[in-house]
Amino acid sequence: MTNVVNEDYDVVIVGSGGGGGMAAYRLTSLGVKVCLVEQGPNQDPGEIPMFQRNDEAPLRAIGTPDKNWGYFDNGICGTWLPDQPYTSDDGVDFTWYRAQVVGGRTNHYARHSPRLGPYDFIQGDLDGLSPNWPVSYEEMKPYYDATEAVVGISGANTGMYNHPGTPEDILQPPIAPRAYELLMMASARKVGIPAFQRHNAILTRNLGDRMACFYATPCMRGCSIGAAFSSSTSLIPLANKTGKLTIVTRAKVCTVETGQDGKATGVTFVDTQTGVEGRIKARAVVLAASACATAQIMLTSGKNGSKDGIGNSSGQVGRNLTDTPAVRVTGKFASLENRPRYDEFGANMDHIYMPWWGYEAQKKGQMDFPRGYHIEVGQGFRDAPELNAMQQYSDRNGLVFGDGLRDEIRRHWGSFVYLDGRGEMVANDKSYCALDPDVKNKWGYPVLRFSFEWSDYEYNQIAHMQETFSTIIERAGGEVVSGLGTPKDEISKPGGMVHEVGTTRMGSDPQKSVCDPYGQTWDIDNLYVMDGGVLPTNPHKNPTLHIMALAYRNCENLAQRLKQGDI
Amino acid sequence: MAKLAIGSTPQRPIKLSRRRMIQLTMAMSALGACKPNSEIELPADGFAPWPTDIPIPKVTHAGYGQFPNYFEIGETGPWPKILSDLHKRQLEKFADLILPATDTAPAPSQIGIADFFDDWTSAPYPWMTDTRKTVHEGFVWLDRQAALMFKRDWLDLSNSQATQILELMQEASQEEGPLTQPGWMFRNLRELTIGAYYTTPEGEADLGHISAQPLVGDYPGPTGPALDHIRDLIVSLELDWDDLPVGIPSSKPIAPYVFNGDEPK
Repeated sequence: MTNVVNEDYDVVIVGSGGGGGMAAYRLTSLGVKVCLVEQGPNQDPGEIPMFQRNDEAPLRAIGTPDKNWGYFDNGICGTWLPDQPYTSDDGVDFTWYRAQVVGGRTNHYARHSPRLGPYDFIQGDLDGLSPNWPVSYEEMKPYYDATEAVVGISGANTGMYNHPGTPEDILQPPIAPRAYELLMMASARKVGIPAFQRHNAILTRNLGDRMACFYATPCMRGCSIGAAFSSSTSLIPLANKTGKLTIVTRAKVCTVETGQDGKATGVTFVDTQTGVEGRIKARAVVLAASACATAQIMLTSGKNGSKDGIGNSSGQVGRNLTDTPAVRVTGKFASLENRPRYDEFGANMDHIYMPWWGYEAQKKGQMDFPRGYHIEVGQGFRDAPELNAMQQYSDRNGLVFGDGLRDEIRRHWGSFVYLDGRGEMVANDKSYCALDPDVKNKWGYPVLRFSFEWSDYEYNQIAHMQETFSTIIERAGGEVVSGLGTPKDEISKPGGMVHEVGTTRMGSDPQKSVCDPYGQTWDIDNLYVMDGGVLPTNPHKNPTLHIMALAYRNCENLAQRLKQGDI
Repeated sequence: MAKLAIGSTPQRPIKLSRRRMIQLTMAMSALGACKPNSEIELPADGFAPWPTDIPIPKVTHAGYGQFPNYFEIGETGPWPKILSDLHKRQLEKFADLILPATDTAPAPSQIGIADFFDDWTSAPYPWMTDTRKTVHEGFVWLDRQAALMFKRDWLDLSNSQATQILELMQEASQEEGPLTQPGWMFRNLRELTIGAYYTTPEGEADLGHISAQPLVGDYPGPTGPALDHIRDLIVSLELDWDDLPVGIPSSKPIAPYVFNGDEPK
């Protein structure tokens, strides 16, 4: 599909995930002629192995060096991609998951879609540890509404101040909680922690050409019926219908080209299969390659030998890198052993969550960490057995074998429930990505080098999670069996939650931010960023929805400027 | 219980614990009673020596790649297979002792456990390297151990004889610290047998796991006995049932739930 593209476009978009897909949809629907460039292949949504069993795949479909997240993971994806290495500073163990396929990471995300609330935009005022966002919740609200109407969101509203709801005419009915979810909800509420059916980008009612969920197949593989939102099933088809969209796949964008006047003129790319280089010209460039990949492109662009790349007069490109700190605490419930079986698969993803509740306590200085977290709930016998996950059931009484082992496994199957903490990290000076001065990829471009450190803000937050989760598990009659090691031992790996954002942050001060409040780079007025890089903070509320709502909004700005001839 | 990472390497030579020595001596005595002229001598460490000169087939396949065709895996899978028919029968005997058949559930050998191990040991990824070595060396060792204890090959042992060897391996598998080769072999093959077995339709059926079936309409959550069970549990814990959103929307009157905690109004 890749070729050297000679046609002139209004906009070239780099990356087809949540940000790029939304930009393609929004711009084409506003009459803009778009070329969407994706590094990975196209995966026809109609040809997804939705119903294949794990025992129909090699090695029971477990992760391998070829497919890190399992055989059926959709696209060329992984933390280790042979053609595209990255490096880390000594002592740093950053994992950089890449999703290279049309639709990008929206093929793989958990579909959890909480809105940001008013507080999330003004952390600078609340604790002073980050800048405020250059936009408020009130300004974003109509764009959340519009985004959610396209994406399709099911769930229940919480009624809580910093967890804003979705209008009733947009929100689809929530999904019934599973048995263990009911237990955790009841226990959390009893100990004073709010619990609700969560917002998921999973349809419970038909929406346009997309069908309601039939509750049977893993979302991560892709969803041919479009019930589980992904850019590839839900945005790009809409953009295609306008006749304004051209998609180029298997093209790795290496640089943004700039003209004599410093404005962007297009992008250069390399065909990942042939190594042939090409270029695409456009009046404006939108980078939505994912936070770190976009930073890499910007740092690689510009004059030969420049260490600073383009759009980087602030020196902030690649800085302020954050991920979501996380911990899992698992409970064993004797009361759930041998419990009655039923279809617990549901919509594959979690149906409930516990939103953050400690804002007032933090304002009063009663907590030793500044930012919130939410709680996710998993396991039971939701998922089919997996090869690598059976020891939990088989090894409770030592490594028994023979008669009795089957009873042992059956008894414990479904009797574990885990609580996952998902927190907000405060950006720090030690966490960033930059070009490696020595290592280049097979096409001769420098690779990214990561530096990363959690701070006590995150460690203290993890400790609070551990204590809270123990309380919920024990109030529900369970016994904690794992997850209570020291926060430094139990915290997730940097990059592990695949929520890296902040590397091209937007702001109101050109000295401290890369992009203006519309995602336009301060330095180059026809270069926009529309992925997670622009998020000035990384609230614990999964980033995809915010990335899309910002792209929706910022594309209106871009389209208007194109129309007015400002670009 | 320490978690066994598939692919960890056995570290130290076999050393027999006092308890296991007694067990082994008893087994040997029983054998001696049957065969008074036996020339078997108990080795100093109690176990037959682990073979170190067994050629391990080289696996050079490139792997299934980063973007395989999910629908055309083929009968034989992506890579050439390396196990012999003898290996497969030896593995089946081993796996069938780990998870014996019941009246309602088939034995591992009946659901293709040998083909699973053939796929696994033939795979060109690093995590399978140790199992490939363990299968090739381990069943030579099992024959030696069977000869030592019972003067027969592994395949010719009765189930009770084979079980005696597995019990020794089981004990070795649960020692603290680095495992002996027989201990690691037991752990690794047991774990893979269990994992491979329960990922089949027959294994799921034995668990009582209900596979996700496409539904028309809303997902109902637990119903029938499953609903009774969780409601009784929640009520017995003196947690609140009435405000829980049970079932499909509007199927149960839900008491209002408002979080009145630490929130700005």
